[in-house]
Amino acid sequence: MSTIKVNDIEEATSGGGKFAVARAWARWNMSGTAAIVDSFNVSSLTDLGVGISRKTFSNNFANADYCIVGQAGRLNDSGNRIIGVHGGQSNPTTSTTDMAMFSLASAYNDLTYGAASWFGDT
Amino acid sequence: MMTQYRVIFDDPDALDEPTKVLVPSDRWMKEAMEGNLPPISVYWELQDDEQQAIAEGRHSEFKHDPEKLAAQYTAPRIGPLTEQEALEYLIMKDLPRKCWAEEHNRPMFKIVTVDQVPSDRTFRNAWEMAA
Repeated sequence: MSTIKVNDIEEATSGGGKFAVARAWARWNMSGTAAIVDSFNVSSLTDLGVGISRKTFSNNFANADYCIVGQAGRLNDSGNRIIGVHGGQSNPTTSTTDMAMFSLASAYNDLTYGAASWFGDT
Repeated sequence: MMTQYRVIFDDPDALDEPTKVLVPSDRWMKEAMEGNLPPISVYWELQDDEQQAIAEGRHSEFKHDPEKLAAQYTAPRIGPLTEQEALEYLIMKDLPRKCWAEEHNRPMFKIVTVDQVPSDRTFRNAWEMAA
């Protein structure tokens, strides 16, 4: 396998806009015993309590100002669900993000589907 | 590879909270066992710098030193690890340092197999780690 090393990726047409790619992503399951379904640049998931999990990155971000895009749901089940950054004095950090999953009634939920991508400086 | 191991641990600063369960990433374990990790000290230096910024109330403006950050990718690799060694490295990287670097009157973490972790959270929340 070969590696392509570049600093920026620009569109070849339409003015050469730059692309940003996710620096980390993960999909996980909190139902039963927590599990990582698949991930990139994530070294571990920690089950911190009902619906709450910590993702630790394989390699740190340059700062904690990264953007997180996440989704949560119950596979093969009904009802809407929500995912968010779990509040804390020093969360997120450059190496970890604590996330919580909820039902619409604002109760923490161990959901079968959690997914997130992280965009930021590394 | 899919590791069958998990690390259960208590945070010495929050002993009233339920026991936590760390799940290693299969992709990270593969990288570790293929010898693609830098020395653990690379991550400790980054953790120390960020913790200092948090303690001094300047985390919102904090940026890692570019050279220390780049060492994650440029430091000489430590060579292939066994599964056990990879888990020990991960404990020192991803668990709170107080769990493994300080002495306590009972164990603060244990490596277990996935089938030893109850899937029912009611049982798990009642756990207390014994020697």
